[in-house]
Amino acid sequence: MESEDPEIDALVAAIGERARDYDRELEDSPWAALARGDLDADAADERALEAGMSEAEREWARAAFAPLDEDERGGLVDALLAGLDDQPGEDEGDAEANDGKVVPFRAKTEAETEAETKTRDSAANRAHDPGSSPRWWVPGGMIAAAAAAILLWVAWPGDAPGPELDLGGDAPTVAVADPVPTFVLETDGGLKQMRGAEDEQPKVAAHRYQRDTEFEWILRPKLEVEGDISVRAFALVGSSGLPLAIEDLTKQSKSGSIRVAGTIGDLDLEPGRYTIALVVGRPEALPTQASEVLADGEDSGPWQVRRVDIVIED
Amino acid sequence: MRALVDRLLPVIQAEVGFALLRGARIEGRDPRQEVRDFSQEVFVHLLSQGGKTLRSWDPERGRSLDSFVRLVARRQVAAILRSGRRNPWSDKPTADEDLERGMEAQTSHGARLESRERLDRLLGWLHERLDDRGMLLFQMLYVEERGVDEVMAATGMTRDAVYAWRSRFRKLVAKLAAEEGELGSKKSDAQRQIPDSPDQRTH
Repeated sequence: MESEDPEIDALVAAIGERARDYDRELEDSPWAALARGDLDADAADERALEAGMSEAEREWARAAFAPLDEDERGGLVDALLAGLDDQPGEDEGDAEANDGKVVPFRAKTEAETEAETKTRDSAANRAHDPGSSPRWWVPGGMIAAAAAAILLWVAWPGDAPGPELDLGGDAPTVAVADPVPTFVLETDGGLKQMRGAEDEQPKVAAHRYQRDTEFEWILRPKLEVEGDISVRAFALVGSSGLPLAIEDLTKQSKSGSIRVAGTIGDLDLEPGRYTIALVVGRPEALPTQASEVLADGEDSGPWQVRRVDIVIED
Repeated sequence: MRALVDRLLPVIQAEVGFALLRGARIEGRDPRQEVRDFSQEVFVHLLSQGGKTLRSWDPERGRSLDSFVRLVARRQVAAILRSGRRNPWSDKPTADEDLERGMEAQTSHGARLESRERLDRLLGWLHERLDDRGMLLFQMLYVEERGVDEVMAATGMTRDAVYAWRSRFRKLVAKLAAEEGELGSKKSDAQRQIPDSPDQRTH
């Protein structure tokens, strides 16, 4: 159903036009040119001065946009690679103990850079020094999620990303930290779906709602949850789907139960039949696209999917 | 990894720095550190979950890698700032507070519609509320003004799916605009009820 509100249509078009302006301003920005290496700092500053930028802003921009030097880039690479250091093997460590851990990093010293140049030692073998770290950090969970990808990039032979980015299949993987306990979905109809017993799940009729019907879906952990847990929702129809904005409909208890409630109209869905996929897991690891949920099925390591079939009537 | 960082960092650094500069969030902070932190967050987002975000880029669909990464970085920075997650400016006004200030200066619907600041806010909220795929579709439909057939070809989506997204964009914008209006009304009401409030700002 297309919108019939010309005011909203005009507003959406105006936002699009503003985004085009933003792109142009970024493209024309001398500071962006500095970051890209297309302009030196003095030339960028001169152009900014001509454009009326204040001294304070120019001073900030000179520092912010100057291309990162070798040490800074090395520190960034180490920060990303360091995630591999902190992945527990299959038989070691308590993955849940890593929950919420923040791993600090620091830019490399000149001595380290020199040593690395000589030995080409793997960054993954270098110990961190959290005590001397300034503010380079990555949350442990995020590192865990990125680790597999980092391995792919390390192994990737090209100098620049190309069409062969899809390196799935036999790509190396690492253990994923931060497991979350099993969640059980309780719908307002009292029907339940249990994880780990997919084949035994009862076939349930779709829940029928009208737009003003209130609903309540609760995801309850079977064990107490440690660390941050979040939920995202997707409306699936066949092989496609849309993310749902449920932030305002979601509340979480101290024990980790997540309640999604409101009226069906709050989901912004047209009348029809949908499968609502509630995806629960670590916030940084949750899928952002319905295609990921469709592709990865019921559970995908750091997150779990609970589904409820609904019919929204006119 | 180093090759990847060298390849994408200039694009990400420009996007991050520009977003922070535009947001006037430059006081009292080490710009170098802030840009590095945010750039690192963007890289982690690109590489998380087996590099799903980065691997979702398909050069056959007509978008350059730089353009793709720019969009991801823009959305990611907006989300970080909006959520307050690792917001280095947590002592600064929140987005809602900024919004309230903005609303005070708006006097008519026509003025609001034309307000660049308002459009920036709405655009920022879209970046924050849509996922990467949603922002790519918004970019194609409303920023690049591509036709539905072209979007279908570029994304492999059905016509109905593209129309569903267009409808969703409109509803989301309508909702954001309504929320903005409600916030402005509440602010106006509060000012009428408490004319001597110390929080009242004059212009």
